[in-house]
Amino acid sequence: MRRKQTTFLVLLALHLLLILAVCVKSTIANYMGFYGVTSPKPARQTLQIADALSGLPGVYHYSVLAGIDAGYGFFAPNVASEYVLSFDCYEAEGTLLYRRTMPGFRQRESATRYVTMLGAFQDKLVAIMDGEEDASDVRQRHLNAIVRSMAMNMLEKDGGVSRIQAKLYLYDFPSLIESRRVEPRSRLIEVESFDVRRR
Amino acid sequence: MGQSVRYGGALSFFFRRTAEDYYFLPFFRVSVALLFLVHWCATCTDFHLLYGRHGILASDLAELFKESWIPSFNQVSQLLTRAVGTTEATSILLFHALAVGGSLLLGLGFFARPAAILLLIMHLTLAKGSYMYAYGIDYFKTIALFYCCLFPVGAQWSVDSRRSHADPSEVNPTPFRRVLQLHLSIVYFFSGLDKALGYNWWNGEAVWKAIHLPYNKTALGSMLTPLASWPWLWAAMGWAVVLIELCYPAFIFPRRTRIVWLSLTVLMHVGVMFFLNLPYFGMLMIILNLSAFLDLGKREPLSASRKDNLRNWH
Repeated sequence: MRRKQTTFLVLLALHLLLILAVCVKSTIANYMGFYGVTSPKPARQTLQIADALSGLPGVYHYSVLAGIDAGYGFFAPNVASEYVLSFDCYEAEGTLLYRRTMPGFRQRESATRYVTMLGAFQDKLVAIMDGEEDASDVRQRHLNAIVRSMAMNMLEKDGGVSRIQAKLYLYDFPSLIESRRVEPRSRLIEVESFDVRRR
Repeated sequence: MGQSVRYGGALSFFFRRTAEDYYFLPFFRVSVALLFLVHWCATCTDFHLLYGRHGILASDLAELFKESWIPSFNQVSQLLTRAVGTTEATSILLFHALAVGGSLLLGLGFFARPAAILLLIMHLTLAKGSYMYAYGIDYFKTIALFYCCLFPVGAQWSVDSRRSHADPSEVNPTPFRRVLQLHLSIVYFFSGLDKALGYNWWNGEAVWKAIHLPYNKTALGSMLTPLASWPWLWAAMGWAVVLIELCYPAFIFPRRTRIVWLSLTVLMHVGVMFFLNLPYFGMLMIILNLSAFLDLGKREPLSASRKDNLRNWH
């Protein structure tokens, strides 16, 4: 009985150690990402150890199966911005037929998932702001391909549309401080535009 | 000597059967199964748009950076097409049937562990196979289903226990509940720490921004917009969230503060449900909290004399 209990405790200790390693890694990475700082040596070393531990083959696979492969910094250290992807659909003569900002979902939760996907475009904004937007970067090309493929999909489904202008916007809402001075109204800041035509 | 006492203390903390844990295993099993079922139904009519081959995202783009060792729904569907010639629509139908059937089996505790394994595999196929659609709830669903696979969740109040005629008191639920309790404590501590490191949580800007996000906005949240002129209120909300999460491990374990902290945490998640438009995420977190820390002790039936006393009193 005692041996069984000891085994249980050892396995639990390893499980919790892995959770802690992933959380520490995520916290340090989030902090550095948010404040744009290079970490001091002890933090860097901790990050390396946590990275090495959680990235071991077998250990990593276990963490994915157990759902402990990511930290828990939801809405932290800052609430991330959201993006709006709008598709302006034009007919052959150039008349705007309609604008679509959300696929035709029938369930609210599907929209939540779609919005999660749009969060990936944060990488694009960060790259633009840092002046590091590299058209050959595979992540950037992936995001561009996503927008184009969504537009192509819409072209395929609606024969009346001959051109789609897809625009990626950053949603901006006045901060709490600003809202005391100005009317709190949202606005969309254009990040990038894509032109997709029927072939 | 000291070490042996500490080890004994650890053994007692983990293995001494506690009355309030009595119904932990069936409570956890049934609530996780129900949540899985409800959440599955929440996207079932749009399933083809999210995960199908001709959905919103082209499948090769959706799967480009996914874990190579976890198949996506599209890969499973193509495999079925090659093996038995089914169409994607049939594969979707099969997935729905397996999800509903699996959650019913888990809820009833009929082949509970195989059902939990099936649901975990299906869940990972969607959450990791189409990782771009995955958000917070998917991590916690993985955790909950993983624990359903490991814990003896079918040992009590289940078809399995009836079939095997096993004595439910043979299984001690306390060590398993401790695992969930410790896991949640780490989750909340780090969630609070990450927020505490961001200055926007201390001045209220984070709460303000969160409830005004375009897709999370609710009518209830919009009603708070005129309160912008009371910045201390927003700061207080931010402080409250940080403190509830950061101090969770310290206040949730002691008996005297547990009910207060559990109530505050549940209230916070109710806020997430109604103000951030994340009902399923809020529901799952409430389920995990109640499973871990609610008094789930066996209630003794009233004795005949106590019943008489109550009757006379009325």
